[in-house]
Amino acid sequence: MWFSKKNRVDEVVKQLAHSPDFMCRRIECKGKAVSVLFLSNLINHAHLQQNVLAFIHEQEHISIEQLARCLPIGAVSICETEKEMASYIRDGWAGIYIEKEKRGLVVNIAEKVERSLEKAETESLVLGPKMSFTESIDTNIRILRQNITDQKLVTEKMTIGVRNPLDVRVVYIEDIADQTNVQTVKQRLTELQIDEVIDSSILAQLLDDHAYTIFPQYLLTELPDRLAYSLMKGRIGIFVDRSPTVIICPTTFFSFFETTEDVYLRWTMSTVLRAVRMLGIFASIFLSPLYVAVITYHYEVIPSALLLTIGESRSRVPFPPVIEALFLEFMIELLREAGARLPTKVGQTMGIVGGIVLGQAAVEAGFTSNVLIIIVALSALGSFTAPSYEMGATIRILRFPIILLAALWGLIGIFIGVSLLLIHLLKLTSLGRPYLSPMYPFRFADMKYALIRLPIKFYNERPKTNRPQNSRRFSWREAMKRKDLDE
Amino acid sequence: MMKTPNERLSVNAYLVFFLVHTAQIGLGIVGVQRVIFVEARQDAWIAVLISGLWIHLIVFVICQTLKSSEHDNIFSLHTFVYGRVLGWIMNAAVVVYFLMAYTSILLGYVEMALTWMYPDFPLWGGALILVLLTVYALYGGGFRLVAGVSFLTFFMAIWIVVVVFQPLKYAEWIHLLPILEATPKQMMNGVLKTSYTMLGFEVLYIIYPFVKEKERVHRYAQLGVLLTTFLVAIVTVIAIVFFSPKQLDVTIWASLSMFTIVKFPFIERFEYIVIPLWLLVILPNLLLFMWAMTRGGKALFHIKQKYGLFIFACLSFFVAMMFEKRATINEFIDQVGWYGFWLSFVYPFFLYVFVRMKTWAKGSAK
Repeated sequence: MWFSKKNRVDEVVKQLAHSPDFMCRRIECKGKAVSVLFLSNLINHAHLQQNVLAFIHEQEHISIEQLARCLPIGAVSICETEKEMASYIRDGWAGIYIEKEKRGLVVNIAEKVERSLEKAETESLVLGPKMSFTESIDTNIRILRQNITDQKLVTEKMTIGVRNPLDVRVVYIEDIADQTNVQTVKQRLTELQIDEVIDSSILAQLLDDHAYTIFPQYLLTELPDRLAYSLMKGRIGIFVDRSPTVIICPTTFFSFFETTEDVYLRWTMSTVLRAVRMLGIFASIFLSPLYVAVITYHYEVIPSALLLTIGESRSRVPFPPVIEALFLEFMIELLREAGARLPTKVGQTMGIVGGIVLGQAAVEAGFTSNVLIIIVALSALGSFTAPSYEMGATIRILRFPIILLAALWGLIGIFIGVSLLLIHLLKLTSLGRPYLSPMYPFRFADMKYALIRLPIKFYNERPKTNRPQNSRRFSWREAMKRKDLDE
Repeated sequence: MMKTPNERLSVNAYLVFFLVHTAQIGLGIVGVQRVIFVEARQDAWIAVLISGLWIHLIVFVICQTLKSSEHDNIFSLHTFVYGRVLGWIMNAAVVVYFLMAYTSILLGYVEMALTWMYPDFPLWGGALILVLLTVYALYGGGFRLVAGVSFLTFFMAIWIVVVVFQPLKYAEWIHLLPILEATPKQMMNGVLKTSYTMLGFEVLYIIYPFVKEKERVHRYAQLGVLLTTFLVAIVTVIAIVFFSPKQLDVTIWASLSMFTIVKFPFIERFEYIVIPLWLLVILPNLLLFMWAMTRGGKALFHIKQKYGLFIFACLSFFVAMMFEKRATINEFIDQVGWYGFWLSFVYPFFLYVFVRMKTWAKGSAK
């Protein structure tokens, strides 16, 4: 008997032998040998000493059963096999074996490394909560539960990855979210056969409906309030351990252009801001192609006074408009990319140096025209107004093929691009739901969620696009009741 | 009998309005004014209205036909009425019509774009681009996509109507007088010449099974036709009062020529915007007719729509390649108008009668 016990500890030791921080502490206690196994880098040492080692010492009579009952630690579990024990130890638990007992005990004394809660970096808001998610799924779920105390909130646990298992939580409000959507998400997650997933953005790509598209199909957010808002409107969130961004699905094209700030601001202001954003994005895609098309093929379209200005500014430029536009667009992309890679302070300086000095120099050297500098700067600004980083990047890339189409066939080329874009967007789906909704299929009531904002009292129903099981938010009649003058 | 599509593939009834309207509005409206004016002179707009009324009647008949039997599309109706062999031939005739209509739009648009904007561009290149666009859309698209395109392009192009009124600044209303001078024969010719512009509502025969609320199809189809008639009548009236009669006699694309005087602070030569934009107007035409062809191919040869798409795309491209000059293209468009006139303006009545007779005969045989 003694032999077999000894072997059990050795088996675990063998499995973790290549970790130099693996410790096997043997204590003699009431004549019995107790082995405590752990990876010293992963655990909280004070915890180990006070609550495990000291506790074992104090015991009169010792057995696994009794330890499991009495140890002053929240999470304990009894292990049957060495392999199971080893995997617990790798997660930062401590394993305990007692001489002459078959089973082992694991106790959770892990101490995980995580950064403190910070302000959101990629999605910045002027108004509203500033906190952002972190890399720890436990903290993230905690933040979510603080945001939504609805008792119907479901956080379902799933595990993905064969070699490097990853904790994934599907969260939704049980009686709001569409069950078909929930099923689709769960099915896609369970069907995923992959060795590892590093980040939620990769998981989002794995869950995509369409791989061959430039458009993102899932919203990635690091804002708890945005997630809470989406969940309460009937969407589904997917938390991924080790990732500070949460996947929101299903999404539509327009949800990439809304921020929670639109909800926080008064409706007039946010309607205007949304319009500005939409216009900016539209300009960002089409301004430089229009310049190329018009200057190359149809200068008749420009009124003569304006044509003179453009002609003057272009008089020293030796290149055709396409080369000019591509050159400038490339420069802006270069600046942006360099700015993103550099530390913040250097990045800012670079932006200014690049924007002003390079632009001015390019004009003076006769490489580009002033007009084009304005256009390219505008379209760069426009692409930065997209609240979602992914969509912003999409828009920046989208410009290039349209510039080429414009160079090939002028305005008709641009409209061929528009047609292709339209058809492509109509074909897209997110989680099997149409991407262009509420535009097509047309849902008039949802326009207030997508394009404009109305006073709060009009939002008595959740958006139909998400197919909520329960769409009622508050009583329309109560909200619309008119009071008499002195009532 | 072809299978009725399931719920997932079908669309709401209100989309019939957009489908019928965008199927009707295409290339015709750009140059319809001269064609009718040559026949009916200053009463051209009355010819448009008569033809509109006629279409309302036909739409009613078409909906009655489709409602009255269990066969809810033209292909199975033909097989039902004429039997297998003759029905097959009639179905082939329908498919050929759609092929011709598709090709005529292809040619007409490319020809217009080349004449106004790119004199040096080869015709086949333009046609190829449009055919590829259609194939890209329909491959993996299907009817819901076609409906979506017609819905969205409608809103992307309808604002042009506002601009159409700008030439009215130079209107000579006296051109409209005297009213009703045209002889009945002239008027009839005018109505006949309107047909090419107003064609397209016959897609009802094919889209009908794809609509969820069948009982509301008729209402929305009528509304779509109403809007088309209204628009065509308006551009006709404006062209008559804007141009002098002699000018209008030789203005091929009267609507475009009217746009030349439209000016904005930042845009001159507005027609240079309209022609590219017109791509969005003919896009639902192209998609609908090609889609109709693939449905027909399925009924005729039992091939998958996916493969039929490629066959018909190649076919229409080769047909388009046979035309070189403006004159031949014009002749071809006239032929399509003529063919379409018989198929869509006259034939539905006969089909209705045949269907009723056949149903009655079957009922009494039992």
